[in-house]
Amino acid sequence: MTQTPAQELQLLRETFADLLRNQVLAESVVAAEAAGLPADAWRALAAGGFPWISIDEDRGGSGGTLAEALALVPLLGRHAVPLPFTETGLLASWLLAGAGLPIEVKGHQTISDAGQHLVVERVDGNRIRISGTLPGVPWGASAASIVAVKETGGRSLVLLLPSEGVQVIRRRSLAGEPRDDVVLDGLVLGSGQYAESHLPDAGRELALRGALCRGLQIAGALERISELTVEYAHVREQFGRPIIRFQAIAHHLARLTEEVALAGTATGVAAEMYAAGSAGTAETIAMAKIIASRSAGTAARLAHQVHGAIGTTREYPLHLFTRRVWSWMDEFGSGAWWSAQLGARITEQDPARHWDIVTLGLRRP
Amino acid sequence: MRTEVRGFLAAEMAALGIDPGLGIGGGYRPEFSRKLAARGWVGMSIPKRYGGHGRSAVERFVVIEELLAAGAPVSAHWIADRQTAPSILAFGTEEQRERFLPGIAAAQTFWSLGMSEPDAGSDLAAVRSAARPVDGGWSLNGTKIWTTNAHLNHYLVVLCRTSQDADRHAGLSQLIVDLHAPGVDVRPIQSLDGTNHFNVVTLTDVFVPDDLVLGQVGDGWRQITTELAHERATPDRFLSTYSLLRSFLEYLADAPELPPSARDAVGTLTARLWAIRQMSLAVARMIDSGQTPATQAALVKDLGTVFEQDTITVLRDYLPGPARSGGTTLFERLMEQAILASPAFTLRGGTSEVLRTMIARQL
Repeated sequence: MTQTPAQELQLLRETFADLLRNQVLAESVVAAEAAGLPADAWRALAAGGFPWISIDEDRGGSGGTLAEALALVPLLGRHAVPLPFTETGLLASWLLAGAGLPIEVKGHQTISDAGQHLVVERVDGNRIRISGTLPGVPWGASAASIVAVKETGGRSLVLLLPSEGVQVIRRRSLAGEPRDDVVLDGLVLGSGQYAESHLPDAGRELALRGALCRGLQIAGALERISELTVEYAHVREQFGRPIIRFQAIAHHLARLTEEVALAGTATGVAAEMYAAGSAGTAETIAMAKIIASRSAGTAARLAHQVHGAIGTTREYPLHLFTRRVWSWMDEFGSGAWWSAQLGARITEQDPARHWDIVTLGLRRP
Repeated sequence: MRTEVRGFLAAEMAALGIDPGLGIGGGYRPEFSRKLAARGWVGMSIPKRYGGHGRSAVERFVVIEELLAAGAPVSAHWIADRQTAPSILAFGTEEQRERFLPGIAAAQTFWSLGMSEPDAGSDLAAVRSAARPVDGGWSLNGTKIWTTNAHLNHYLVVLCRTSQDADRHAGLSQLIVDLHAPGVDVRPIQSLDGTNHFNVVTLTDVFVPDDLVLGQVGDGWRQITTELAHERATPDRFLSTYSLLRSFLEYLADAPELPPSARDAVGTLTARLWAIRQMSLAVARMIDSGQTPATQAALVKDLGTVFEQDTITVLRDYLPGPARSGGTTLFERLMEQAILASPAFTLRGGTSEVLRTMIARQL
């Protein structure tokens, strides 16, 4: 029996969710904060080729479509996956493949969106020398290599930075995930370690794709935050009844539901448009990240308020998700940063064209 | 279709020589409504055999959002088009459909809603207006309040008690009342901005013939809850302040001295509007596929109307001085109106609090 593309996508999503349920247990997410990357979980995901979906097979990827790859990203948030999944595949491998550079399919790779701040000088022949600091690189200390983009002389250079020969200052996100500062002090790269991207303006493309990934991760985590909170409000009793029976609590839950639906819709539409290569995708991703970041803050606040003191502990799982959305909401451009970008773009053009942005969508009726 | 509507509106609004308005409060102009009807943009979802155009909810969505975005004066036909026509179509008799729908689609007859009463606001099931059976029909007594444009419209759909049932949701019915019938008294209520669109309608021994009962006797509660699911998520719930936002962009283009935060604010408001519209569109698609997405619609209305009020709160900080009448720019004029009109946004069609209670009940 042949399946429709929607059914195939759903099947892929279920397979991946099952894998995450078995491999990424709440205990292992907490343990990862002390022990570092959970190697078994990474091996299981890598063995299935999941991180490299949408990267061409002749480039060393797993093949498949961008729509398939993006469909998995909310699940990373929903299961609080403490792995550089989007960093390795959708971001680093995508840039490397687009520049004809080799991708790493055994270990994990990572990405920095701060490549523009690096100073790049030509040494001799094909060699270049790189200096500067890449702040907050996800799993920067343990990654096999770090990928960054530097726009120079009208070209987008994709840099494949080795993990040796760089200084790493270990730091952590609010969720306890590695976000290391990587200091490059005259690191020399030869041919095969950097190349021009086939994408025009690859730095901008990376910012967009990164923002879309973080937005989808937020949307997935918010779903789980909402489920935990509704469940708790049904079970927890005070004054002789479940707290959901109190209107003040019920209204917090309604607002929480609204924010989760808004973030899910915004990031879902942006992902569909991005996968389809629709016109206006850049503005749509900016809007989706603004919404996801805003909703993340509001939803986390409401969820904690409903949970009371238990939600502020390590023993109750809410923190696995709220600490992640607090971290993701500022990564690859905070809501405020994208609002400034979008606001500048809108106010540069004729006010009559504003409505065209408001009505952007995949199937524009 | 979108381009055609836009072109028509640009020409007509210029010919009328009026400022854009704020959503459905944008002005009562029967002639304008008739011109829209002549183009096929009123009663779009009414089947052709009743004088309509047999279009989908999504097609109607496109036209009404263009009307609202332009701030067109749509309030004469709005309720009839949005609410009464779908209701008559769903619950009315064949004779009622043939009798009323062509007039709605042609923008010849305009309708009001007779739901709220002095003692029945959010608690709509507390209505006391009652009809008792008489020879050939019903005799209706009661008072309806907040009836928009009852002083100008032709008909009123009255939610009333037709039996004193112990279950307060049973025993309610909807009756169609001719606003010019004997016993109907319409008195204006002046709104805080000095305009008059609300009224008190007193019904004294009003005779309603049997053939003007809408739907089944005793089925009124189910009928209005279905009706509300359809109206709650439509673009009039998030576009009331679009003309204000649009006028701010024009104002900003001429005021480079405004701080960068003004541009950031435009970015955030645009993103919120875009996302809410996508949710609203999803509801229209669900309606087209035969569903009644009541909870989804409530989510959209709450998000949308709060967004409308936030737009005012955020943008008023960029006024050149205190808001007052006689502003030289469209932004200043619309802001003055919007501040005064804004309290109603989160009240009409179900308060935010009622909506949130409804949403939470499904969790």
